[in-house]
Amino acid sequence: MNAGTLYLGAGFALVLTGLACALLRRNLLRMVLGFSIVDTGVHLIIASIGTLTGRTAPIIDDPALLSDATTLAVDATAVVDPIPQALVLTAIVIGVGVTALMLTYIVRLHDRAGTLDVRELRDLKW
Amino acid sequence: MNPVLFIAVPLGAAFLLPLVRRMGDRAARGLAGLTFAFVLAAVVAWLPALGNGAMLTVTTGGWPAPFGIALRFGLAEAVLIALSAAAALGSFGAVSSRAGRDATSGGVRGLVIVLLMVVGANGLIMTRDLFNTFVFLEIVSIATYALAATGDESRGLEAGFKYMFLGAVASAFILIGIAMLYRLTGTLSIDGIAESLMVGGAGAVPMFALGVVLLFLFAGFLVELKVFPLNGPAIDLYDGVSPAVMALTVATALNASVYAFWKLMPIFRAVDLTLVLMVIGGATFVLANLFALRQSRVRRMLGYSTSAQLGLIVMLMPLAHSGDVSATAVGLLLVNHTLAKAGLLWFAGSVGKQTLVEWKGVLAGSPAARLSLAALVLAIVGMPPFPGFWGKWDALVALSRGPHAWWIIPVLAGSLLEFIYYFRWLRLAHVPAEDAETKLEPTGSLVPAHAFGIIVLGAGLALSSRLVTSSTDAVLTLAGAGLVLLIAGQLPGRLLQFLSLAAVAASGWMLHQAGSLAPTSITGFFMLIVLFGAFTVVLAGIGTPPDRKRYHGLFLLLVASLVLLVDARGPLGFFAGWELMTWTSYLLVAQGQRGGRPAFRYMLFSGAAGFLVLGGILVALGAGVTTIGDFAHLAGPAALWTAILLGAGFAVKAASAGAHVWAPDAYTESPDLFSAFLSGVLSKMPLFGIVLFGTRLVAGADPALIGGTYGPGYALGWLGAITAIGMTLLAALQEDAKRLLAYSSVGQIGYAVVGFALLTPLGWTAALYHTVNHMIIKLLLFLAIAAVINRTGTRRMHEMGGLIKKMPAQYIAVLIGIIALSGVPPLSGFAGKWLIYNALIEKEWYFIAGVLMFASVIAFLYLFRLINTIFLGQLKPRHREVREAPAVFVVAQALLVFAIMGLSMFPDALLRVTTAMTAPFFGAAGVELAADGSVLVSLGYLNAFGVMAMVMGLFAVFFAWVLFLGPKTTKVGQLDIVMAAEEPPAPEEIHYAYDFYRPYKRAFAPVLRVSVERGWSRFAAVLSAVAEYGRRFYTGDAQTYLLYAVVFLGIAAVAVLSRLG
Repeated sequence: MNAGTLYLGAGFALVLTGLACALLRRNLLRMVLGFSIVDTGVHLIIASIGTLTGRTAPIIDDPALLSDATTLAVDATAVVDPIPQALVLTAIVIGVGVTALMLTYIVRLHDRAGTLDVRELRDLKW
Repeated sequence: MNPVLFIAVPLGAAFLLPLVRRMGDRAARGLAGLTFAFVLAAVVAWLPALGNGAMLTVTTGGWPAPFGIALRFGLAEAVLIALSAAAALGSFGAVSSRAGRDATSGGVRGLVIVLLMVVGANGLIMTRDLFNTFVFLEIVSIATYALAATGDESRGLEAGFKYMFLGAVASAFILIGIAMLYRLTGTLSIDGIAESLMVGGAGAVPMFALGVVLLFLFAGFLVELKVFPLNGPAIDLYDGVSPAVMALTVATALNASVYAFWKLMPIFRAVDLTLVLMVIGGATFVLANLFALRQSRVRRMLGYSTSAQLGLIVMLMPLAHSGDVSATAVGLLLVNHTLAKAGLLWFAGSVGKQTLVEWKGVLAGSPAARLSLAALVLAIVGMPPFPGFWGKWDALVALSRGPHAWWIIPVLAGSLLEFIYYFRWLRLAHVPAEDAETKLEPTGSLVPAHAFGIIVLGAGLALSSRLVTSSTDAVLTLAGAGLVLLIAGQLPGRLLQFLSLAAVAASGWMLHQAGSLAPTSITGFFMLIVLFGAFTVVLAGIGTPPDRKRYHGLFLLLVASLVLLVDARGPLGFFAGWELMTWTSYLLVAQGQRGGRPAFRYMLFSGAAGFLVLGGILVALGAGVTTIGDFAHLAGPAALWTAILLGAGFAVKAASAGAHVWAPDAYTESPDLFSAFLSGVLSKMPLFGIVLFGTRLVAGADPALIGGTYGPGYALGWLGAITAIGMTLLAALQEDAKRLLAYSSVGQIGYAVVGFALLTPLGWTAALYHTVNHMIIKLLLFLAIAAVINRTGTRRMHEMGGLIKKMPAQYIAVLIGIIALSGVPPLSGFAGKWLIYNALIEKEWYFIAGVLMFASVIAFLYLFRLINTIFLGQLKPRHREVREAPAVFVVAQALLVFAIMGLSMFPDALLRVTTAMTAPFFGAAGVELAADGSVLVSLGYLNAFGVMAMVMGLFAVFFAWVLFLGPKTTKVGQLDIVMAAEEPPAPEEIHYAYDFYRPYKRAFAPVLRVSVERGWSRFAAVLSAVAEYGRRFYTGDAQTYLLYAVVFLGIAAVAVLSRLG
């Protein structure tokens, strides 16, 4: 089993853990925590796509990474794919934003209702 | 100009806003408004250049895809961006002022979020990059979450949290899908992915992995699209968040998500998800509309409605992608929904009433607002001429011709459910305000709602150019005059009626010029009926103009739609005219003093009739028909089902027994003049439908099938006979003069239905003769009763009496009318009844003939009451000052009396026309018309002129005998009551008129206890109970909703993976 598959498996395990947490815990904070775990799992899944054993980060700090020194072309077999990493960075930023907004909501909900139990949030239904 | 500006400009404005705010809130609002106006103006100016399918691809940063992010800008993108900018323009005022009232959410700061919402939506619409799609999706989602919290209600917080919680999980699903898809295909460009999946074919990527990946993407997007069973949080959002915010999200976040999903269709095509999407979408459309029935809160109802309409779009999307349905049709549905729903949401937000009960009577005092709400409701339920009608029609026609024809049924069922809750809402808003408290006090501006109402109407009218026929001039004249009168409702009623008369006359002249009035053609025949009826009713209206301001304009719009309907060149024209007739007449019924509830019922039954008719037309279209003439080429089951569905639709619209419950109230509570038109002309339109399609179906049918005694028409024949006898019986027991005539009218239509059901040339000729005769008589009778009601102020017959001296012209009108209607010689009804009995005997339908004869006898009972109770007997003291109807009114009636007399003496003139109409289809006339005016059928002959001469001669002798040889009479005043040795009681007791037929009522008690009304209420109760239990599915618990999403993912996994084969 290579590292990529391992990360992929771990990522899905985290997603499931997070989902279980979000589904089973009644406390709003814990539900948000569950969501964060899901998010982390997703990030790991994305990162796993770019992982290739024996390759290095696509940062050209060593002339050995260039296949042709005059055109500065990168040796594609020496570095990992940078795109998933860019995706992860973006996803992390968005995840932080959403988490922050959720926590803001929880603060305001707690101010109004004085509870963190999700079962109390059932005024709107049917 | 570069389309990137549609993203960049609002984004720049969002950054500038905090700075500009230092110059004051006004400056900040100005900046936001200018930004949206700029985007809107730029896109709209661009639209003409994009009309021919031109497409602009922009590569950002100079890098072409797949390295850079490509944006595409075509007609679809432009329209969606225009909608988002327009909605932002309509909403930003309300959003920033709402936020301003709330200390915790900083006033104009809400504008930054609105700007970002537009940024996200425009980006989502244009981008061709998968990851970019995710980023913009997150921007609109976060903007939605943030806007949900700007309100000052804790409901908004709850709704926002639930929505965000599920949305976040959906985003995670989408992100997994995108990343894995990149792994499989090595690119993030949507077109690149689709290409690599397509070019590579099945072997290029591991199918199982692809299935799993698409599943995540698919499930994530379906949460965003708010389809069943994932729509709970979205519906809660409507309930909790300000309608102005929801109007914005409909036009931005929702539309952009739908379009993003549409762009991904080529990727989803790798695994055939057509059926999965159709099931989900169809279920959403039906269920969300069903659950909406039980909503007491207007906003939540609108939420269910959004979910339903999105379901319909999701259902059609895979078909649009494969080309089975035109993508334009689906686009029209989306545009229609956006305009109408945003308008309705703004409307609901500005009126500020939460529950349906609070809406009661809110708009009673503001006609402009009522019209606006009506237009938006008509748009959202897909009535012509609004864009939704064209979208739905094109989609349904395409469905009928493809392999998914059965899917028409859920679409029509859901559409009918939609009718119920929208028109109930409209009805409540129309209820006349009895207390001063329920009047419109808008908490916000109604301008955005009005503006979108006008835009959606304009868009629809622009699309209506498909309906051009030879009668277009006349239709435009009538419709244009109608719109003018609608606006000029404040002018004196007499003037408005005079202008209406001019419009009707002018359109008649135009139709004559266009050759549309040839009486021997089916359309010419019914066109003359429409024009004659409209002319007489408007002429009478000059005498007693209706007092409702909107009546005049609506009446002309109705006449316009009737001209369109009758002169239709194809099935589309027919159905568009039919639906236009439905809603214009609905609004006219609602003009009555207590017309709201009857109008609501009228609309439901007419809606059901419309969908049955549409079903029949679609069966025919599915079998390859394109013109109405092609209906003759139908054969086998297609012909049978077309006939059954059309017959059922026309029977409902003709108020046949069972579906008659809408008619008595609608006829009774309509404005008095309109009742005459309703009975005289509108009730003939289902008969027109029967003739128009029936002649073709008969011409194409196997003669052996039609010729036998018990053919396919036998059931319809019984329906007509039962209607005739049942309604006649009920008519005899009414105390209300209009209600009596209403039942009479419905019963008389039953006679015509029997005639058509015979499917013999004689039967059809008889039915057509009866149609004309009944039109004239009912116009005359309803007008006479209208005059009496106008003068006495009551509809109850026992409160009248002895009016013969006060209103002699009306007495003569009613006398002529009832003699003609009852079918005794010498007047016109005799020939009609004689023909129908002959036709029945010829066909050997003896039992039905017996029933009709019995019904005719019962008809005497109620006809007698009209004369006896109203005009004879004792005058009521309070009617001492009653005057005759105005001269113009009497002139209109005189026209009708002359028509009856003419028809009575020369029925052969009309029969010459009707036989010429039907003979080509049957290959036989069924009636022979002799040179001396005699009418010959296989069983005998009738010389109406001879009968008339004979009866008149006998009458003259009798009259002379009474006049010259009888005892001398003494004239006394009508109120001189003399009784032998007794104190004269009140006149009411001398003239016994109340509960006149009590003995008959007792005798028929077991029959009368069969209450169809109760049956329908029970049906409504069952439907309501189903909706009530069904909607409990949405428990309101965030975790339950998440559970649904997880279970849905599981089921979708099974569905998707099983499709991998």
